[in-house]
Amino acid sequence: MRRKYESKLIEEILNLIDSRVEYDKNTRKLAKTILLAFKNEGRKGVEKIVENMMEGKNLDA
Amino acid sequence: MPNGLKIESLEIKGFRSFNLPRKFELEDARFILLIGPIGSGKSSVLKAIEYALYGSSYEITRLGLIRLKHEDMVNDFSDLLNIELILKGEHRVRIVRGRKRGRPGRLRVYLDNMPVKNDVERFLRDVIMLGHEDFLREIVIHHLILRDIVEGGPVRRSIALDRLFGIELLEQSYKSIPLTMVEKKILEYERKIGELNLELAKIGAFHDPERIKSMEIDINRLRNRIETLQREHKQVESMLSEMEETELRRKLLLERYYSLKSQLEEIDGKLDRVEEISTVEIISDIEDVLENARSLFRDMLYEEMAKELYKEPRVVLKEDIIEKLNRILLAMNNIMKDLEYKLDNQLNERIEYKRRYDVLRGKQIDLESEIEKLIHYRYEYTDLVKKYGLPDDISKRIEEYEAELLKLGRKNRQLKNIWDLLKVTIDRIELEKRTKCPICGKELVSEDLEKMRRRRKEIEEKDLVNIIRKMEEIESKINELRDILNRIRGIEENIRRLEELELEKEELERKITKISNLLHHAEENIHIVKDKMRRARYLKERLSDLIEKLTTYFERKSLLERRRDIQKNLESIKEELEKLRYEESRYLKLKKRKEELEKILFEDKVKLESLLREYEKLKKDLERAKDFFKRKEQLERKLEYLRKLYKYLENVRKLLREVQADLRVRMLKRIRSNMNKTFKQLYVHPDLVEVDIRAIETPKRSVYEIYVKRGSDGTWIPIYSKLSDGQRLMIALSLLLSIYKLYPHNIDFILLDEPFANINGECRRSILKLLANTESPSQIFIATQDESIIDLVKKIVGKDNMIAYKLTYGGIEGPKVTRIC
Repeated sequence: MRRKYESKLIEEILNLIDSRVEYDKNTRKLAKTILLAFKNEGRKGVEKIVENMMEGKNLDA
Repeated sequence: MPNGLKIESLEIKGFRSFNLPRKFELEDARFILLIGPIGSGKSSVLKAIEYALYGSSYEITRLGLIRLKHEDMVNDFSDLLNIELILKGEHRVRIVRGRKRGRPGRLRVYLDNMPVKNDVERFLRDVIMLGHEDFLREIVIHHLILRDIVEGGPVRRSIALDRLFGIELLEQSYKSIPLTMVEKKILEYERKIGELNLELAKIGAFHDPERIKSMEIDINRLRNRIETLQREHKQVESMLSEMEETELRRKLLLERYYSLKSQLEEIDGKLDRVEEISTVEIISDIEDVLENARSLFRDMLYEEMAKELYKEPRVVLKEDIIEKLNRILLAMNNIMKDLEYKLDNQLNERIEYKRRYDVLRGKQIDLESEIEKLIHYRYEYTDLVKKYGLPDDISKRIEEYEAELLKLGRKNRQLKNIWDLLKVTIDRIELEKRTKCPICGKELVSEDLEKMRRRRKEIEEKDLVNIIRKMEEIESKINELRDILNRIRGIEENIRRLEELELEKEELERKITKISNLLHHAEENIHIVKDKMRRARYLKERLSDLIEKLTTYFERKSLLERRRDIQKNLESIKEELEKLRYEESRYLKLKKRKEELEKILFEDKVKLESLLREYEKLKKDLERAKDFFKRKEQLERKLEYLRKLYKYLENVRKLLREVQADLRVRMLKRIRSNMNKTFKQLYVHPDLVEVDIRAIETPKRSVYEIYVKRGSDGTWIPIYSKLSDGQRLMIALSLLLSIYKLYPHNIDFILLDEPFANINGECRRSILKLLANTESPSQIFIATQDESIIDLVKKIVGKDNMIAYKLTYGGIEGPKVTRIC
């Protein structure tokens, strides 16, 4: 559950992603994961996620 | 919940440039001005508000660029950071945030002086209703953002606006997805698959199992053939080996035969050179030498050797006779050595005896000479004894003379006394003319005096002279006798010495006789030893000759025996050679067959090896091909997966972009009305009536364009090409203030950090007026270097609605804070 008032903007963005139902659930989930990873850890955080996926871990994240 | 929180007071200690505590009392002022030069701590005051509310700072949370740690927020000269912020709205909220160096931070919150106990951070967020990032976007306005919006080009302006709208996060997230990395991996896998395809193409007909089967049959057939040939080759080899062995034996026998022949010739040559000696003659010689040796051994007391020679009275000519003679020769050598030793001893003895004889003779001569010197004392002593008697008699006579001399001495003294008395008496009588004797008192007559005088004269001239003469005679005799006595005693000494010498001489003569005998005996011994030595030397020579003769005798005997043996051997070799048969034609035929077989075998083996190599290669290729297929399948699976991932990520990117557009539309829609409302409050002239901000999509990124509606003709005109700097600034400020309430929250203040940098006086005035005219926020913080702002604000909002703090450098203690208005 998202923390209230952590950032209303992030909350709104995440809601917007969720509202895009034409994309499958996994894509939406990955988009949110990448967004939060970038917010918290920057570019390296995103690269780490993609590297893990390339190695076959976590493709369904 | 409280609404519209304003700051009542702020106390900072140990934060950034602040060391000692500094307090800012803000009362109900609308404008709070923080004036001071660069680095005086103005921005630190604004950051202290941020830190008090969120326990962090943009410089700590931001990604990329320079990132600070919480520790960096603590003043270098202090170990404790403490910020106390009092917010005032419907309720009074006191926030105390502290941090000790090296320790985690702590937060205390008091709501209307009552401490909040559980989850204080969450409580604070609920009170202010705004997250940290939203706070930075909505409450804090930095001059750089203003500058980018007013003066920046389309991209820079758009980036600044995207940042304000929070769209920049989506854009950066979009860009951060490393599609290139996936692409590279896809290319790498495609390349690897291509390489594997090439390898497979090279391997070629690996999938022809019929060929392998046919090869296996060929190989087996060839192996059987080789086995048959090898068996035949073995048989031929065994026959050849037997024949070669016979031939070898024959050659060896022939070699032996010729070698023995040459030995026989050599022995014959030697026999010609060795002298033939008669056995009888040599036995006679041996017996003679042995007899002589026995005699010498007995003479030399070599009894053991002599007995040994007697053990075998008869001489037998065996090889050990030489050994026996060598033993005798050795004993003879020992005898020679003994004799030489004895001779040396005898010679040394003779020399010693001769030396001792010479010494004794020398002594004898010396003694005789000394005796000769002393012999006359004996005659003198006889004469003196004859004349004066024995020394005892002389001593007695001296004693008698001495007694007589004493008597005479006494008499002489008596006469002298009488003479003296007479003289005294006569002199007194004559002088005193006395008639009486002064001694006895008797009357004196003249004759008496005369008598006395005569008597005195008689004593003086006669008696005394006689006595003295007699005494002198006696003394002379005593002296003479004493001299004689002394002489006799001296002679007696010499005679005793003479007697001693004569005894010594006798002893010496006895010794000389003894030494002389010894010397004679030594010379005799020397003669005997020399004679024995001559005999021994003669025997040695004879023994040596005899040993030589015997050696030659036995050598000849041995040569003859060897000759007989060799002749016997030669006979037996001849017989064996005659028995051995050798068929050369059969041998050559077998040899030819062997060579043929070897050639065929070699060719077949080469053929087999080649077949096996080919077979192994085919098998290996088959294995490799299987492996390549397996790897290729794996790579293809991975490639498929990566392509899927790539599409997946592309979809994500697309989604992010779409969300970005959605958000932009939402944001623009949301701020448009607020922006116009604010703009109308700020800009009261009729020439510009409405503001609009539009997003234009370009291939690279979306850009923003701000338009304003002209009042005169109702046309929308772009602000960047048509409006003045001041007008643009007002529109930008309207935009920023509209963002202030983009999301609802409980904060009723705004923080402007250097908003007037690079902005001229007129524009400043306009901005300040604009800010003064807005309804919300009701508390405006302005941090600036420009002191003239104070007068401007005074003029615009009045003295009562403002507070100005001047900040100056304060060294280690931190900035000095002075309220100037």
